[in-house]
Amino acid sequence: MMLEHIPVKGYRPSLLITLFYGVIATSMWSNMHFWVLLLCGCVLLVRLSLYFGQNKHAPNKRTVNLLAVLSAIALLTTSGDLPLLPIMINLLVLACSLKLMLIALRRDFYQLIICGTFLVACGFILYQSLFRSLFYAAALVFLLYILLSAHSPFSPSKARQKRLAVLLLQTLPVAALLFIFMPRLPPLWKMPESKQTETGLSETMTPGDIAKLTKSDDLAFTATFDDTLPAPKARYWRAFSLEQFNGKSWTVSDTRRHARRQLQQMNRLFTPHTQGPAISYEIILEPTQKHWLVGLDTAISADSSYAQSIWQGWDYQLTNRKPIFSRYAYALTSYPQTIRNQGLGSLDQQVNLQLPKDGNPETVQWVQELRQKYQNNRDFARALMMYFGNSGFEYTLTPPAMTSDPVDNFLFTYKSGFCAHYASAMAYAFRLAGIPARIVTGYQGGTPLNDDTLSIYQYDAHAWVEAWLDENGWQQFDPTTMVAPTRINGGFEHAARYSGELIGENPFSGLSHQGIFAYLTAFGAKMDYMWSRWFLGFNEERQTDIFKHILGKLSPLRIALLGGGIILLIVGLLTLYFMPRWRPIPLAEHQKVYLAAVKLIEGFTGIPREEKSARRYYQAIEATLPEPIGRRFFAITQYFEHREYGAPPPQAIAKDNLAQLKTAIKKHQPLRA
Amino acid sequence: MVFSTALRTLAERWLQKRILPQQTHTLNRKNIFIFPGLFGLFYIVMTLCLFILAINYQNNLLLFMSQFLTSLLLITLFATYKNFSGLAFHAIAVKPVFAGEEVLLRINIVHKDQNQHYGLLEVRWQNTRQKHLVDLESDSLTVRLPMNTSQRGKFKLPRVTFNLAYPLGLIRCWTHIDFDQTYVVYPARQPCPILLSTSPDEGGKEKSVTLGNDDFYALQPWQKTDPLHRVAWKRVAKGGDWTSKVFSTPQAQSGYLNIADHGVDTELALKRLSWQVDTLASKGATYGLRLNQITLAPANTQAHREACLTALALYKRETTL
Repeated sequence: MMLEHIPVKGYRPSLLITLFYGVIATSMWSNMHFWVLLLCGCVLLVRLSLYFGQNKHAPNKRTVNLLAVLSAIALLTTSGDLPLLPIMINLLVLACSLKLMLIALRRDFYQLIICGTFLVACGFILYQSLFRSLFYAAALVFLLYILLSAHSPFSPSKARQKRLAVLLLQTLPVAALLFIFMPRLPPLWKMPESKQTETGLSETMTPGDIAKLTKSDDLAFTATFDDTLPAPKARYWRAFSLEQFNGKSWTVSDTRRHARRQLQQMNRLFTPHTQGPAISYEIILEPTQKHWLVGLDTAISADSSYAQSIWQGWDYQLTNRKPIFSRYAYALTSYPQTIRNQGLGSLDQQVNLQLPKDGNPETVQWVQELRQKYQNNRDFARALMMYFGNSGFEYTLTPPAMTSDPVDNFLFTYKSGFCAHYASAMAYAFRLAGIPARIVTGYQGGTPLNDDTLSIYQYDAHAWVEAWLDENGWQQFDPTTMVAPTRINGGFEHAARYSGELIGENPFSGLSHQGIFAYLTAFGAKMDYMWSRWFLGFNEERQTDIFKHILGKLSPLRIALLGGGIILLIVGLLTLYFMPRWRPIPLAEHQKVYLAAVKLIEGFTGIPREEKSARRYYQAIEATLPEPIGRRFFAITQYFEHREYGAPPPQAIAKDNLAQLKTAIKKHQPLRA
Repeated sequence: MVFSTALRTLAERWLQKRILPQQTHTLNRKNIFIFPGLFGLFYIVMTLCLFILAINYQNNLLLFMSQFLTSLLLITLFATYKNFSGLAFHAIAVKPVFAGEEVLLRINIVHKDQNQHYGLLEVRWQNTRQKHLVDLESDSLTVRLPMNTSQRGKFKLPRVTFNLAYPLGLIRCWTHIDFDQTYVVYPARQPCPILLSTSPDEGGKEKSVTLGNDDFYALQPWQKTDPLHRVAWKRVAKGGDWTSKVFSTPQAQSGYLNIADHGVDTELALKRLSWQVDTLASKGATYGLRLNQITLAPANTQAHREACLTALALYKRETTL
């Protein structure tokens, strides 16, 4: 039991738990209100002054209650547009900070521990990189250390750390067994979908706006190929298509969305007829809070086990049945040479010929003239691409804002922009010419992590065009290549650095490309990849693989046996930890001293003790021992008898005698020599 | 209310069979109770919440965390038990006290096994709230457990509850131990003149009135009949109650203290006798005691004092045991 009433001054656990809250709140700074962090810092100061006794009394309960009311109002007014989870975290940190000022009872302390554990869990939901995970795991260990300290306040901290380490090391194997072998459950209910995604693809593309996405260097996903990496030119990762254009913005088509929902309800599966060689790979997608998945065209799920969760869209788009809240691993096979004239032709035609009613008059005019020149669809497409290549267009991440008639402005006035501008203009031109076309957003490129793995970052986000020219179905056009070929061949990062646009954003990002930093960054990325692949990506399929590996074949009986085996293993572990019989009983101090002395004497006299009792052995060798040695050994024997058999106590203490015996023996020549 | 009392008696009866009264107890499987404390229950609820969050978010980190916390609970279950079992408690016989004073039960705690024991052991009387904490890592492991007394008589000490939640407070181990100890509470001491009668037979006739002027021995609540020069003015000046000083002349001769000399209020008489026995014993006088049927021959030993006081404590009370 810990103390029921917690002292204000000099109580270490109170201070430590305040420190814990300070650190954890700071680590979540991007999701915290600044004023909440400020409050947390103030509480730390209050606790420090209480700990060192500068203030004798904790703040008045009424004061803190007043503060609580004010904070609640502040939180309500300041977090209107925040998603649920950050609001909850702010609330939790706020409440705990106020509680921290008033720790008086054991109960308060326990509440803080429970809330602290919850905060760590929130950290695991928000951040899942290896570094962050290790940080929050360490925070949890620290919290447990505080708890242990509160329950044994008088032991030295070294001893406490050791005991906690033993406890945690005992726990880990059991937890690992549970993690690997406990059956995975499907989600019980749908979690509220978060609206905010600072990074990630947007479902609305307005080329006139300033690109925000491309500047983020967060990881989007990693792809591990079974064979070699595809050529840079072929690394077009489709996420979803934008098919609705209003003259300014491209959005996901409502008709398409509606059709998809209907098809899903009817459970009509689309199985594209594939052609050509296959590329197999596995993707670990960072959380997007959305349903879409990325893949190279034309991708189908590699394994029937994924068919449960991945839905093959009729527009070649892959969607997951659940939003991606955590890193998600899935395996795909792509057939790049597939002719994409399958699916719902009439729907595709209808959706992808949609045009805004008015606007961009110059473009309309220009397309009409161009179309008259090139009646053939293929020639028209080629002419469009040529136009982008030869008319002095410039690739830039910071184009001027184009608010009215953006396509006109882009094509004829400014002639500068990034992928969204080019794709938008080209798709619009196609549609004006009566050719079905749409914009595909996704990622292009990727940085090789090792021989078979690509890392794709948010700045690799890209938009390109698909058009239905003839019976060969959807074909891909990327007008950006005509302007900035390096964007495609060298990757975005290369192109942007060349133009000097990316570096200026973050003073530290330049560092990451030089010397030791480059090495560390690469190493970190590799570790993080292994972490996602083997821990975060450990899903039902992997678990089934392990079961198959152990059992050979999956049958209910064998699985039941495996379950029983795991339980027995856990019981065995517990027995190992807590049944001390197999361990030899440690020797008492007097026994150790006596045995050490006997060893010295045996070495000195050459007469072994064998099974003789202590007294007998002394009598046997008494005559051979010269003076101080005999006396010292007799004292040790006496002490041993006193402790072991309750004989009358000797005058001297045995430990000193042992040291004296050693020096006495050292001074003498051994008898045997 | 009736139900809970019935439940309590039932539990008490069960406990009596399970943990037998003994002066020394070693904790083992038979006398340890173990269950998650309130904090432990909250911890379980929290772990369950984390587990549900984990499967809803399909978050492996969270899943592992919830499984780790579950395993930790399992491990602490055993660790707590191991840390508690093997402790041995030895009660030291309780010394009698006068009513109103505190009975002090001293319990020695020893380790009966090789294990080192850690944490704060909580010790209290069963069904009371007043707690005493002992650090199991300290060198001297003696608990002093006081209990208030109000009435004279011979009583059985209630069970002592030991409570330990080391290492993490999630799991609570406890036991209710009956040390098989009885204690005697002497009547409270009521100062009065000492009335020693020389003959054991006829109490009322040859009593020696010993009220004198020589030797101050006590303060008594002031009564209207007391002379004013005996009032303890110093005390009154300090704002205390009115009290009068009582003086006596030293007693040389031996005699009997007799309950019959002290009026009809038995309790008051016993209190006065208690005071007289205590005073006489501290002066080394020889005295005897007569309580109607019971007669204790005059003596001046410590054992005699205790016998007299015990007789006073148990006078007409023995049936209560």
